[in-house]
Amino acid sequence: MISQLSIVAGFREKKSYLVDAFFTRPFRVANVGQYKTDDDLYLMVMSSSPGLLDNDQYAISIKLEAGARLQLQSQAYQRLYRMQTGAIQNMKIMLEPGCAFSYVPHPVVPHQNSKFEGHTTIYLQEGCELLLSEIITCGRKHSGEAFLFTSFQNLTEVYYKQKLILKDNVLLQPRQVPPGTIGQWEGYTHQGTLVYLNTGEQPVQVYLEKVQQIVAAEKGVFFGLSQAAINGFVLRILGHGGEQLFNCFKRVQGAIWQNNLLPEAPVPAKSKAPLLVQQV
Amino acid sequence: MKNHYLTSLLHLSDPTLPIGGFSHSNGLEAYVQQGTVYDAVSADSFIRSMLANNIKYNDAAFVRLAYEAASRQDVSELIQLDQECTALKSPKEIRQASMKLGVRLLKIFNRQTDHQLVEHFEKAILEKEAAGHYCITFGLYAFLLHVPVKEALLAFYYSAAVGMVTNCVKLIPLGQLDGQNILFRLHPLLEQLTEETFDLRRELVGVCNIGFDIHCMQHEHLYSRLYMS
Repeated sequence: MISQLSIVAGFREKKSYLVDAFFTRPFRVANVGQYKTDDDLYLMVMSSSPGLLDNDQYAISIKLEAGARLQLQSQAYQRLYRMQTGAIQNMKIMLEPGCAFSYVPHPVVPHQNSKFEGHTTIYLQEGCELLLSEIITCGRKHSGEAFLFTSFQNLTEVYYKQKLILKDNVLLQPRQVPPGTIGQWEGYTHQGTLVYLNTGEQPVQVYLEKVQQIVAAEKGVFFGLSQAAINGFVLRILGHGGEQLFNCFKRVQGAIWQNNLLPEAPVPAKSKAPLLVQQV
Repeated sequence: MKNHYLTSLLHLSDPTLPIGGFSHSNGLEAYVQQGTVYDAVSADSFIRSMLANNIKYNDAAFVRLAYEAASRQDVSELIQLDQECTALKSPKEIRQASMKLGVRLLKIFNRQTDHQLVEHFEKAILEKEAAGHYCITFGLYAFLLHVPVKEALLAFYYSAAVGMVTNCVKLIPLGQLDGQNILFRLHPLLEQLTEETFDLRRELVGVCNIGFDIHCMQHEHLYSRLYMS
């Protein structure tokens, strides 16, 4: 089945709003903003299908008009069912200048013999913020279905003014390359990648320390964090639970979205003189 | 024998070229410190996986693509491939290592002969359009020095393997003969990978190896370090 989802977010009088949403089955879009005082737009992509079936083709397009800030959310884990031909997802995200887009979807669960090919292309302009993540599980681990999928490929490309600035090509073929191999999943069952890029002036050094702290608090994970080629970072993580990685990414997202990481204004140190007076 | 490509190829792929290759472990130092790579057997697995799962899809694939772009005199393609390398290498130390090695390789070779293609590529590096990654420079010069593409690839793999064996011998440490035994046993794999790189589909170029990437990122934070990556 060919399914389409198209969202346009706009910005007017300091508020982000939904300009247009077009979707076909199984998609639906819900506005899930919680606070009247929050000027950003929060949308949830809902689906009446529990996941992708054989021959499914998803075409998703998201556009942010200048100045818009959109946080997209998923509703549930994305399942990839048993397939012969495979399923495809194409996602195109376009940000005009001064936009922020943040998307931390639920983990993907590739079932036995599933075959998936995804391609996400993102176009940034100046003054944009992008946070995007992906978590892939080994499958239905508790039903004894670990690493039985046929193949999973997801290619992410980010362009800034027509120049490729970040590319991530995930290819998992457990039958060809056993996940326990050195350099691959190395005994873990879940992998995640979170990318944050900022084409504005704001240096992200302060985020790096905070993100390092957030992820280092997780038990039983193995992760690396590194500065990207442009202002931003890439976080890669291996773990044993989808929920844990998802919650961890959500915390990172929350910390960056609220922009509350900038160092607080230094409290002026009290001079010693009054203290002495008090002591006397 | 004059102008025979073999001398040029030996020079281009010499692991002891003063470009700084010896100061990079590409994540191996992190593996050794964490105790995952600790003897000849685990060193062998590390090197094989690095060659077959990482280098084949990344640097070696770019050597071939850069070689082909050079053969078409297509400088804008070379620059795009170089930008793709920067975009793909997410661990900072690995990205910087690749750029440093490439620029130094360029400095060694460009003073000997003038090539228009090299001039354009260097201009792009100066204008920060390109970074001059090692694999791109290697592919470019392999073509300009009349090296057949498969021979260039085999030499590239061999040079990478020698680098890793040397690092394993130093870091683990292993005996010199243990290292050479590993290298001998790698010969068939190097030939196989050369063929496979030649047939690699374009959409598979740049495949990420998450375990390697994480170790390379963690290397930035190791308490004591002998290597720069």
